[in-house]
Amino acid sequence: MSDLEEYLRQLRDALDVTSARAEVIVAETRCHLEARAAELQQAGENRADALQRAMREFGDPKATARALTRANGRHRTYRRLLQAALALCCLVLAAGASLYSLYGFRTNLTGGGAGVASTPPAERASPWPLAELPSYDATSLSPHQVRLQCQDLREFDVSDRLADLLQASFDSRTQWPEELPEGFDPARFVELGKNPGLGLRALHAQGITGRGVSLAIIDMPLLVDHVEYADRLRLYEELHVLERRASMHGVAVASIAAGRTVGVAPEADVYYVAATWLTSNPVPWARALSGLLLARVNSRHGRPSAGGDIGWEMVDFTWAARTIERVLDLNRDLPAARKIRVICIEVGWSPGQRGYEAAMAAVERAKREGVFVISSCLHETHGLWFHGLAREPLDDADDPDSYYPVAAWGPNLAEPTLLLPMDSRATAAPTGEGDYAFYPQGGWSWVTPYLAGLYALACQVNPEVTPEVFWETALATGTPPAPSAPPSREEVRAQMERRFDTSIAEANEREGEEEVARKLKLRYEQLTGESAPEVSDAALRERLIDRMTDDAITRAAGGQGKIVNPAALIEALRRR
Amino acid sequence: MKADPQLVKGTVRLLALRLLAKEPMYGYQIIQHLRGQSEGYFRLGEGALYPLLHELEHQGFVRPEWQDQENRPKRRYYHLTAKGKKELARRLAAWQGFTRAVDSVLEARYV
Repeated sequence: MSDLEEYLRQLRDALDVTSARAEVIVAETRCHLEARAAELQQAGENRADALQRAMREFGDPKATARALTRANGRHRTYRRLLQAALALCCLVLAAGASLYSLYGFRTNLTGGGAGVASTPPAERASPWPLAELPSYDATSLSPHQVRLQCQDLREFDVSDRLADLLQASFDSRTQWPEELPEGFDPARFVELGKNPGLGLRALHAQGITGRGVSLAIIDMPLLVDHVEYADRLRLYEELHVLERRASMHGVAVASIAAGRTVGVAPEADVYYVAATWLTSNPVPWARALSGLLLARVNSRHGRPSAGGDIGWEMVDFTWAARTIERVLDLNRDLPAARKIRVICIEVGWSPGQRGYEAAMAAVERAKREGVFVISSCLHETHGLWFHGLAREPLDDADDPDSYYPVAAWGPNLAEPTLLLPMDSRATAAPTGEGDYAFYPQGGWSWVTPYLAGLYALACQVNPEVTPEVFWETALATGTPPAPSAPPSREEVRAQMERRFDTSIAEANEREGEEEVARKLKLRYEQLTGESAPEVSDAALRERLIDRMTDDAITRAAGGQGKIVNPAALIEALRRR
Repeated sequence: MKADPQLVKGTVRLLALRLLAKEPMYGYQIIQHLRGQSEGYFRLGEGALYPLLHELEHQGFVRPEWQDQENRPKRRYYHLTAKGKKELARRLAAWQGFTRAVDSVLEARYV
């Protein structure tokens, strides 16, 4: 090692600052010493002597490091104190979480398998008031950026905020200013969004309403008194739930499946079991929480860290299995004419996840007992693919041409895929028994209950129907989406870039750059089936984004997606 | 004449800010200017300038910026910020008040 490098090493070692700061100081010192040495060389000294003199003039590296440490803050000491404090917090949090996981869950079952075992209170209708209308950021991946539920906006000037309002979710308690921009008509959005669409209301008028068919929903706690379904709610139980209040999710799902005015099967009987998939094992709770905190500490200091992803660590699909089994057990006691034919459970599981085998086994039992379990992993349990359709809020919900498949995510439509309404829906809201909410964007959570409702209608007209017959008929009678207005490659690529960079930034924060670089290569191999090339991270990023763009365009343009045609489907099933 | 280290210590901050008000400079350049313009009076220990510059940076008086140099290591130039300009004005006024007061005492006739 040269004298200069040794000098800089001593300086670096003696610094008590962040590693990034230390690099700046070392680089700046190197620059100074080189400049001074060059000046001395010009005056006739040889390079070795010039460097020696420059270092002497600069001063003792340890003393200089002490002075620089004082000027930049004594980081290492603070960091050790902070880490000790955080470790203590982790321990306290983990202990608290463990206790909560053991004692925080509740279960309320009906003794006789009918009735309402619990009545969760309505969601609070008093959110933190907004100081101004949130702006919609098209570059963000967050789906719910403009939440206006229960907000009093009467004093707001929103006359030039059409773009933001078109992305807003709101409810019947949102109070609007008198002047709204042209093109934003919340009452009309709700009126059109309540319509389940695709001609279902005409079917309802013919008596195809799911009458005499029972469907079950497994979701978050329900507002049992909502007018959309209260009169047909035959059972409400809770199995392993944490939430105390009615959730927006469960209320919306129930209303989409069987709501009186917004639902697909408005006269079906509803059996509802509230559940959560969070594990009650305290070990993953403690590990996930401490992992999350330690990952944050590590990432702040540029160190890679395993763990830190709290999501799947906490999930145990054994609870999904147990809830399905509970519904199947209840079903055994129901009279033949009132049997539950379909279970809607808005979650999906994959091999390797905790409880996967149990969940798959529960679905197999359901198949044997003639019950169709509709989850978001229908491809895993039944080999069937579905996806959601977008619709502009003022377009006619009954016209198939109003719909187009959501392109940015979802399955590859090169598979035979059933397409169902998803976006621009108005559903029951959790804040009161007569409340409604409008969601400009949905997700598969809005598609699975639609499917469940549709299956209930199918069971009404053809009690012998099976999931396979239903699906085959739905695909055969469905209509391909209109080929109009596919997004341009540039648009899709920009969207993919945002999605990619956001997830990488989050992962870097959580797991450290080395781990993310490793996962990038794995992702490449998964997507392409080829080994990741030995190229820079930037080049790999470009290749991955290109591939994701191609996949998204294939999804949007794939020829095998079919928009469900309820009237044709029901007619075909009736004739079978 | 050799500088009194105690006097130098109190004035280098002011001088560095004054030099940076003229143009952005890197550390070694500041040292050269201090030495040159004071005709060798300010022979600051070279490693001593950087803690001062880093302090000024943390206080928001200067903003560093790396600049690439052709065929040479890049340099960290320090720019005087608006806050730094105010600090310079404050220190200049204090210095001028101080020197006036010292001069008036030293130059007084005690006869």
